[in-house]
Amino acid sequence: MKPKQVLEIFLGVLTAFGGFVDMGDLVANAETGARFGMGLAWVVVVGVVGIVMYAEMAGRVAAVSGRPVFDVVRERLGARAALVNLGASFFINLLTLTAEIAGLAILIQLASGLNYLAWVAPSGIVVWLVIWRVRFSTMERVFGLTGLLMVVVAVAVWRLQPGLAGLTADALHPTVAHGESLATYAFFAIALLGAAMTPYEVFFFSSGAVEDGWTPGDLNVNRANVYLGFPLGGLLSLALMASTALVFHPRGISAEQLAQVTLPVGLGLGRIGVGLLLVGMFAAIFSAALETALSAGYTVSQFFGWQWGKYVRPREAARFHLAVIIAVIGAVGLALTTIDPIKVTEYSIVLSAAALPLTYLPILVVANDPTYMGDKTNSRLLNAVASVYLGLLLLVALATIPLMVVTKGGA
Amino acid sequence: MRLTDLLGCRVVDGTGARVGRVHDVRMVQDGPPIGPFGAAPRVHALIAGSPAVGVRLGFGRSDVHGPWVVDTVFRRLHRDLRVIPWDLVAALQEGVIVLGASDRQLPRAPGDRPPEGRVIEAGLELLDRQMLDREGRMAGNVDDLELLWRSGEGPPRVTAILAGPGALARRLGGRLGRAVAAAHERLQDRDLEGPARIDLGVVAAIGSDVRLTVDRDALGTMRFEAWTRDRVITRIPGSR
Repeated sequence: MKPKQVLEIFLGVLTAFGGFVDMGDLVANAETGARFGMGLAWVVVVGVVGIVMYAEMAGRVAAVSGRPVFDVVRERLGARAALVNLGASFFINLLTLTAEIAGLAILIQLASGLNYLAWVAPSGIVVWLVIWRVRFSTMERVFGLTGLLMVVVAVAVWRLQPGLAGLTADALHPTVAHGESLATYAFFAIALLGAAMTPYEVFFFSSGAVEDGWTPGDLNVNRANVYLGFPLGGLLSLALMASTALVFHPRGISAEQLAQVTLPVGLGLGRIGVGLLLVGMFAAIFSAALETALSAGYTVSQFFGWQWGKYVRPREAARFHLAVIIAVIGAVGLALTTIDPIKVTEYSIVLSAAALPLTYLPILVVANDPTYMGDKTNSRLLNAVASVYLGLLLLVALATIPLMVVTKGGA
Repeated sequence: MRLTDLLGCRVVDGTGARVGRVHDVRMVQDGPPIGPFGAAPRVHALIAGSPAVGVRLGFGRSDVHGPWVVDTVFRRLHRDLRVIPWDLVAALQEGVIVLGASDRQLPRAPGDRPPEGRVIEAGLELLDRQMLDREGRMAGNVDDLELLWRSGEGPPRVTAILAGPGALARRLGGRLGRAVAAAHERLQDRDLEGPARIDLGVVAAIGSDVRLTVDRDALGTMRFEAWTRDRVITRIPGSR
């Protein structure tokens, strides 16, 4: 392997690592840590294995056949079913984008003291400007790598409980925390699964493979990104859960504010730690805002067959950029209605989990089709794991809405 | 005639008994050459039957081996699919295809591959695919196919790809389809009629995408793109 390709793979892994956590992961992991301790840690593991498998298939399909996720959805479901799918995916993606933009605004509020509503529109504009002007690879790298600063959470957890023995024991013997019902336990399990396996991650990842011009020769880059970068990002999610499990859970305090994520880090590492954490969180959420805004353009354009992508100039992918602009305006508008950003985040991840089979099944089928994949079809082992997940995702899709009603949205 | 006029049609046999609906159209490329792509595909058989879901996923095709569970479920769902040779079609009425044979004489799918020429399952392998122009730029989706058919002259053959909202409208059907069609009529150039048409003679290859030998700006599918570019995107600084 050439040194340049090694560097490429190394940076790709770190980018995937630093860009893994977003608003959904922050909210879900912090909240469940405070309410359930490490009792739901196993779901994060299930979710990370799921996203690794799903993204690997989608990345491989894109590298070998040049077809990103929504192309495949349209080809395999036909125009009508794919349009329904597009409507659901676009709506959930818009909720996610709203959550990310509101999250950025909340972080600026923490730093400036001025109410987050004042920062919603500026955040949206800056997100759009970066998409409009900055090169794809630069954009991906800068925010992904800066997001690595969130590692301070893991360091803080280590400082607060060296050895992690208690946390590991709790994680390995999960129980429903005192005062919580089985229904809320299941509801937050779905939230964690949706936070780890958000569909936009795969829309973005597979379209990004086309943006970066991946060919079958880049399959090792694909594997390194998902097999190393995503699990490392998953560890960061677990560290977030552990931090609130250590600080809030024993005292019976819930964590329903973004600011609360900083407290365990403050206790473990002091003010410098909190500063680094805020910068890392900002970068990670910013990166997710870019990915969701782009995903709005990717999904719509791929359904209709329009030119998309940042690898051409904006004027050559006019409708794609128009779709991105409309999504950003929509998300800013939704956030400005003073809708609770944390609630939006929760709904976006729970609905994401429910919608997963819609895009997962077409990818699974095409990853097995030799007319697209040649000899790069799924292995038997992968198919076995993928089938188990298909069953799991269908079960989750059926259970989500009833659980949402029964638990009143996890209240 | 369009491919959509066949897809979804009800099929009844010679005795009037219901056979099911058309799920896909099997074509074979064995006519005279019409361009770089080779011969024009003609309709060889209709794939029809009672199952409703997942025919488009492609499990009827023998080379697709899905995960065992998915494979088994869909093969079972699709075990009643029939391959109806076009010769058996006696009449084509509004939304109904009448066969000249009884249901029991029909062969079952999969299998029955015709001997010569490339076989294309139009719904599975051609419809909804991405088109790329000669520079590799994206140029719309295959939203429908134009078929030429005169009764008494043998099976219909494909003459063009139809693309854009004018073609997509009929695929969507219902109220939404009518709304899209009406919008397309209003925004269309006055001297043009019907959806954008891409002659099969400019198709270079059909694979996981459909490659054309022309520039996309020469296609009727780029009107909305041009409007968005000129009226919105180039007015924002930095669009170049």
